[in-house]
Amino acid sequence: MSNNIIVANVLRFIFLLLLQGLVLQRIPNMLENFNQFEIFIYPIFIFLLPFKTPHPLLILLGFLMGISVDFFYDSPGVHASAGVFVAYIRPFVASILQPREGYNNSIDIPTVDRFGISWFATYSLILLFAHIFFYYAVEIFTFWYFWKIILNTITSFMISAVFIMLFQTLFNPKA
Amino acid sequence: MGNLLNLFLKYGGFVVFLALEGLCMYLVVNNNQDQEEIYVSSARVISGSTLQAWDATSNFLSLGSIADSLATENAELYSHMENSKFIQTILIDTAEVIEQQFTYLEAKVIKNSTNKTNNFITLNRGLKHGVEKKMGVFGKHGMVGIVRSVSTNFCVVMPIINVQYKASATLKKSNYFGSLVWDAQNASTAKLEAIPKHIELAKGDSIVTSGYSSIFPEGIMIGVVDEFNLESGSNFYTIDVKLGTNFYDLKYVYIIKNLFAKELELLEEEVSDE
Repeated sequence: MSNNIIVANVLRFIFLLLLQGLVLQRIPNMLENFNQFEIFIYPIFIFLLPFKTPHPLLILLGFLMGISVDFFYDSPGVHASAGVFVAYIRPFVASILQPREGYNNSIDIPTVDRFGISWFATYSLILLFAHIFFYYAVEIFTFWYFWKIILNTITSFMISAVFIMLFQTLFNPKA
Repeated sequence: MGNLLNLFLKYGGFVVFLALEGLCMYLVVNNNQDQEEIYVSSARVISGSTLQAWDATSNFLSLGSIADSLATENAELYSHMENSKFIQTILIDTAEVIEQQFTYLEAKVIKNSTNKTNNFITLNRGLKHGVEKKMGVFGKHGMVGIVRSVSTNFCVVMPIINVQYKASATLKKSNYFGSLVWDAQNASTAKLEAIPKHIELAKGDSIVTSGYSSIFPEGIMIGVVDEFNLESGSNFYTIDVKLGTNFYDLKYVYIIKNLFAKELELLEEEVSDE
């Protein structure tokens, strides 16, 4: 059981990394007039880690995911910092969204399969927004360009949300 | 020990978060020119607008723009140097006409590599500033390279430390010239070839640009002789050159515009067509 979860997450890590780094990275660059956005798919790796993952490990995995993506984007630390941030706030977001019967921390995994589509959508979109906002704050790196951060965040968020939900629908991960 | 581990797993999140976020910021500021520049400039904006206590800090941080203006000034001064002028002496009536041949444009290095075999340097000057292909580039300690491609705002320079680079270079003392190549060993040395064996050489001899091409004025420093040897049976020295330019720390450079380049090019084309 536990081994299955580890294998599933390792495979997901590799698949998302390649999808992000080799495919989605190029899409904004191919468009000429409208390219002030990025498509984020890899944060779903952090969203789908089981609840029993210890918080420090969760953050470390967020860092690993982010820094690996950074290798493809040639932007050391930018994606990583967003990954770390989202992994850090994940337990707090989860506790806000806690269903009436609570979580069973030892076995629950934050999936549609377990909690339903509306729970998962709220959970993942909050985290996704936080991720993208943090990403652009670091990437643009000054609140002097506050509106650019907001604008890029909103554009990227709307496009990425579609991809995240598409990923969820296509693969419907259970582990 | 087990208790300590449990405690860490339960409450260590914040510590790990801070540590990794710190590491990320370190990576960001150190590896991304954009962020580093924004970091410096926004720090400047903020410190400039706060209290007097910050004055010292803002002064320090604005050294960047002072350096910028000094670089502009240097570029101007270079164009007044003697080797930038084309001196036409008309013997008949002894009038001397001095025309400007070279002008200089200061540029800032925004991307640089020293660890590859094909190293390139990106500068913040492009078509907009009048940069064209095949213009020479040098820094305060010596020659850097030649502009390879130009976009609207930027240009990419092929430095000496690129295995594709080839240039002629002159021994300042004896005026013999050879060809300078890079052996991809490290970014502070290159090789000078085709210097005949009857020339007297000494360690520390200066090697300068020859002025035979239309790219560089003559006499721009390239480096000094570090070591030389004569292989048995060979008629030419193999000379190790210690490059003047420190490619590991290259911030400001100057792009050379030869105002006669078009004329020379046309003339030389004519000859090669025949």
